Amino acid sequence: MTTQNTVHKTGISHHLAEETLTAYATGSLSEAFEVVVASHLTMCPCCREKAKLLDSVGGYFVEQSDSAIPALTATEMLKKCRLSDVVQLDDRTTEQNDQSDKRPCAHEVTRETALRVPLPLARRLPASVDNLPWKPLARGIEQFELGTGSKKDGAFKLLRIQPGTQLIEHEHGDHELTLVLHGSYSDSLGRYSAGDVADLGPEHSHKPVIDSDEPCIALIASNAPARYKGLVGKLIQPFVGI
Amino acid sequence: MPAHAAVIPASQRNRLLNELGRDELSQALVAIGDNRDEAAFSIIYTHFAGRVKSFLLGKGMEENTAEELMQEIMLIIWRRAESYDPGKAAASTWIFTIARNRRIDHLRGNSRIEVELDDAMLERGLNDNLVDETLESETALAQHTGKMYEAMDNLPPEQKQVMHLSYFRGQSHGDIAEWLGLPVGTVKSRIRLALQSIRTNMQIGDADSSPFEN
Repeated sequence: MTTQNTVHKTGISHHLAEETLTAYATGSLSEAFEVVVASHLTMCPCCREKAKLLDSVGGYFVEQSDSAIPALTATEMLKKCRLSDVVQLDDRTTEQNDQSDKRPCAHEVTRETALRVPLPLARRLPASVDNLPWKPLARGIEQFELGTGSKKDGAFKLLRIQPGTQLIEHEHGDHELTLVLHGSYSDSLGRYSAGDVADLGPEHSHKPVIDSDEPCIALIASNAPARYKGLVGKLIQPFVGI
Repeated sequence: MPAHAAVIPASQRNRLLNELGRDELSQALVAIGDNRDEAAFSIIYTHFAGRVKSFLLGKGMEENTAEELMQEIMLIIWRRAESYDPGKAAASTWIFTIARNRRIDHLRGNSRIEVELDDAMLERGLNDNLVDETLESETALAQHTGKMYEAMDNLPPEQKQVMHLSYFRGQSHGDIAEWLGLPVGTVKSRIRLALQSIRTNMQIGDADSSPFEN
């Protein structure tokens, strides 16, 4: 295609897997995964195009599906619609379920120098990324917990890792997404910088090292805890996510 | 259009009729949005109510809940049709996303997390018109949708099956793998191949293969 010549370089080289985008389109992901996916999509027009296509594939299957029998006729449903127009002012919840619980964004009016993150994540943070109550985890590693913190729910957290820090080699649970927001890290799969996402299944084992001059900030969601190799790994396993 | 039908081969005519059908549904949504057109709503309800309910039932919802939720979805369509942009999505796509989002809302009590198009972090790029913007015209969208339908119709059966099950049945790739008696890896790779062949058949430029990426 000729448009290829005018590609706007986003710098993103690690994308979401097609099956993850499909799970997002079908509504099969947990909230934590949705936050990571929507944040990556904000930064990656390439995956956003696929996501949009997958929505229209959903339309295709709706169109092709066998029809179940509705309890109401069109006329009866219209009666309900007219009635709802009358009481609409009392009942805004159904109407606005896409908008109503959009959380206010704590750092919407931050200074220009503040580290910015995509809104799907920003709305869940009590402060801008540099002002979060980071908790130290291990040498060079801090975290901000976004999930329940319970192991059975999988991880959902932000990590801030100092330059030069090397994480212990670990395998992954069932499925893990790591989105780099600032800085970068490298492992056997390549170099991950802002906007890149590592979409890893249980078959992957890696040993990331932070190779940026500034701290690396990454958003992580997994549906099972990562497994660390070796005794030291086992000891710190409960604390680290990527 | 019907005036030309006589000189169009049967296969293409069929496709054209499908497109006209889709166009009619889009126009019905627009009419609901413009002036709460009740006849238009009847067209939408008659066409989609059973299909939306079928989606909810397929996803494992029991009859009463599925019926109730389907009615809520129809009500959302009635109230929110104003926000439907016929240059942006086919009627079936718009309704699918409402149904999917309402189901998520029902299951976990909060909304699906989505990209916000006014996000200052939003990165624009290749194929913008396929991503966030309205296609140049409704005709362009109709052609795009038509190509997608054709690509879907021509998908190898085993790929179409996993896609169908993903949208209309199980919660996870694991569920689908179990139903089909296949390894999870096979399910995932069929999904990958399916999306690749849809995009290839639609001739969408792939940023992945551009020299600027990867």
